Amino acid sequence: MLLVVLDAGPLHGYGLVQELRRRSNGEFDLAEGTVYPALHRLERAGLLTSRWEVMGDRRRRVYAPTRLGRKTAGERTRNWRRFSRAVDAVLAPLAGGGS
Amino acid sequence: MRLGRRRAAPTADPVAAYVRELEVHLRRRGRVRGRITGEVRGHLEEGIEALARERNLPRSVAAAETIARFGSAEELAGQFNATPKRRSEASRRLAVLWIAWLGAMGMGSATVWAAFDGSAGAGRSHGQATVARTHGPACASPGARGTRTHISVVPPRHCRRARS
Repeated sequence: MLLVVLDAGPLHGYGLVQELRRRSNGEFDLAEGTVYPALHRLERAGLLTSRWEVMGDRRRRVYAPTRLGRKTAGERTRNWRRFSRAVDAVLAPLAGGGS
Repeated sequence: MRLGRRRAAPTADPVAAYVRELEVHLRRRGRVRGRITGEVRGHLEEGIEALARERNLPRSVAAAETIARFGSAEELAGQFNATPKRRSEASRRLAVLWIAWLGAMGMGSATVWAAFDGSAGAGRSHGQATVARTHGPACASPGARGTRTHISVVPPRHCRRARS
């Protein structure tokens, strides 16, 4: 998810958390700190790059996906959609009345 | 009381206190440590500012809420500590030097061994020549019994039989 959100444009950790919350209509209200170890791991895996940016009197570490990161995001999105469709198909009989 | 564990110094600023607490538990040094604390400090400051502005809250209340939403400093440090360390440039160079040294030692050993083996081979030829001179060429062939060692001057039994 982090890769997909960053694919829309580079963001710093705070912005990324806000964007996740916005896109999920507030469903993903995660402990905000947990996003940083995840970002560091993705960068270490070569899926993200980062650099410091100065905004006024504040420095921000801004993240962007690498080419490999974009490719990985695309693959994982396709896999997730396939999985999601399969789950929907299994649950389809319950969709009517929950019985 | 647990020995060896530093305690975060008390401070009035909740962000500074959180960062100090994170530093206590963080097992990262140098630039990585500075980057982590810098990112966390920036995130908290921005979050507090935004929350105080949006809901018209005093900074202390906004800080308490933002820090609670961010999660425990100890747990966060634990997640960073669990991430494998990136090998530094210095240690990468050291590894390359170590491999190069091992390679050089290996090649040196191989060269010395080859030289030693060559001289031993020459000695064996000399021994075989001596045996051939004394007992005839049949006894100096590599397969002939008694010619395994070039320092042996005792003729093999079948040679003795042939001579007599």
